[in-house]
Amino acid sequence: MTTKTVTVDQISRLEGEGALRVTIEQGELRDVQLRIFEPPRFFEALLQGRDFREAPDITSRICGICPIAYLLSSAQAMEDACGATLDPGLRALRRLIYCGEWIESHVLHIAMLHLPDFLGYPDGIAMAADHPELVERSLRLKALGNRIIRLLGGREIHPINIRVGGFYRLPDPRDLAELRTELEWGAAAARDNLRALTALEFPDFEGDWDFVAMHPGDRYPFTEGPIACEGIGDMSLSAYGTFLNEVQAPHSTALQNQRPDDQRPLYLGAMARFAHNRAGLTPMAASEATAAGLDGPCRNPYRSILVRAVEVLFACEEALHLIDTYVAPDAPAVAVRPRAGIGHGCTEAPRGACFHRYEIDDAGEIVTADIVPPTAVNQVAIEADLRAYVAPRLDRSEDDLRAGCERVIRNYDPCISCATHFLTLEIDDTGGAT
Amino acid sequence: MSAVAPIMLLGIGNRRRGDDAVGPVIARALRRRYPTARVVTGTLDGFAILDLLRQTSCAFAFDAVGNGTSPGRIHRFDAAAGSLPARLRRASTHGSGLAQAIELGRVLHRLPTTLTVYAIEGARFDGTGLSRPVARAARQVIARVSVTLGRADASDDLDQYGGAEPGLT
Repeated sequence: MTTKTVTVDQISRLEGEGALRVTIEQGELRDVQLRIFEPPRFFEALLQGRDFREAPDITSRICGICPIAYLLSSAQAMEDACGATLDPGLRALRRLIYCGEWIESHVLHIAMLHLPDFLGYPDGIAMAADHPELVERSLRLKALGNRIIRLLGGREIHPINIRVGGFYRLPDPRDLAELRTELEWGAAAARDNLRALTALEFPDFEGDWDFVAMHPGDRYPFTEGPIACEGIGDMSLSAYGTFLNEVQAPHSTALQNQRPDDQRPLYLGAMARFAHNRAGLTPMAASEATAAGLDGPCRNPYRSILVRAVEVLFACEEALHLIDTYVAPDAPAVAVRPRAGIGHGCTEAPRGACFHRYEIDDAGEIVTADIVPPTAVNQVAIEADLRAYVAPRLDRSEDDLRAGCERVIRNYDPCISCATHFLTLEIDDTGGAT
Repeated sequence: MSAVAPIMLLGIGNRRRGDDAVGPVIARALRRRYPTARVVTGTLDGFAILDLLRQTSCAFAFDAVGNGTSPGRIHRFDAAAGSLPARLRRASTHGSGLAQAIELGRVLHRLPTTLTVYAIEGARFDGTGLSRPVARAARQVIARVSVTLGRADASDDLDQYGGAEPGLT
């Protein structure tokens, strides 16, 4: 029996530690496994017994690239559990800090992780030697995103100014005003980046998944709204929690979230948001999207680089709008008093909807925690894309297949650190000295 | 662009992870001798490091490296002149680090005129306080940098920064 196995022991240019194994037997594709070997991180377990107000700071340690997603999803879940409602000004600030996260995360992926694939470079450093202007522009954009997070969050990595109920301190309006000039530059730079990316060559591929994203209806989503699924429509956050089925795949330390009825994989992220919420873009972002060939939903994951670039442009414009219309709330936070119950929170991390569900008791102690990061849901779609990519290319060399498969995975900008937080550890002890 | 700082001292590392604290320890110790220098410490993202490097013409970076095979061994590199050896670049899929920042800065012509990297091999990366060989190495690096900058002094008291702590390996 002739078996060919293509392995990538450590996939480069993505966040976290994952590997890939493709098994081909007798000229037929037998198996594709995206193997997550990031050490399991047990966040859902260690949250149990903690105070509900600790959830944002604990869960933000899940990820250094998208901490805002965890800070706000957890805070909003606890506010939901306790029946607390935030002032419009506080909600605007949350939206503003999210603009910062999208800008810095998307730009990093676009310029340093994804674009080298299209231009034939092994990494962003090699690419920078030949494309210094684009890289410099991207670095300055990333710094702008970080600056927004630092201003509103206290620092860039694991921000410390967000809490259940709002913030610990409100920003100085003068600091917000100072951001304007750089944001105006940022919007123009993001537009220039998007226009440059439209010249790329994109492999033909149409994904077979259902888009899932938050869908507030009246704006592009960051922090609010029900969750929309193609073919189903909007669902409440509590319904979304039961919509997915967490499964421990043997080859992965990350739980996979699969649909219980074995339908098409779900796709979360920029393309999903774009598909459900294109009408919520700013006029310029919508216009530039059209000019980039994004008239409607985009199902080609290679073109996700364009959609992320549209979102960077949108985030810069949205940040300007939020600063211009900001009315400072009376206090940095609203009072949140614990009560026994269950709360749900969801926000759109750069990679997709990040869902949290908590049960707390009367004293505010966390009884159970359930965190569904977007990459955990996307694992199934990634493996589906890999099968679709490999199946017609079995005659390719292993190096070719390997490079192509890595590209397929990088299309998703997966955050593997986020995907590894499973609760149950089973030890199969077959004997022997320890 | 920010005004050019005379000297920048980058102490890279986590003060709460054993020998990973050596970078911040050294940078803070040097701050007392060079009050006009800009000192930045912490677990610095590569892009943040790159942004800092463009703000000075003379920088020193201090960082822990290695897997404990030669604890306390000091590596000094003229990073403005050439790349750090691949064997000492700490690869992380969770973000870019000093080595990547330097190489990106090099291709973008963003490196300061003088960039000296001191990499100290650590023994352990948990707990608090420096291991004995790393604490000793830290003193040596402080002395060397002081000589370089023309202000040699008596051996520094590192206790306030967590050096020479009980429970050393």
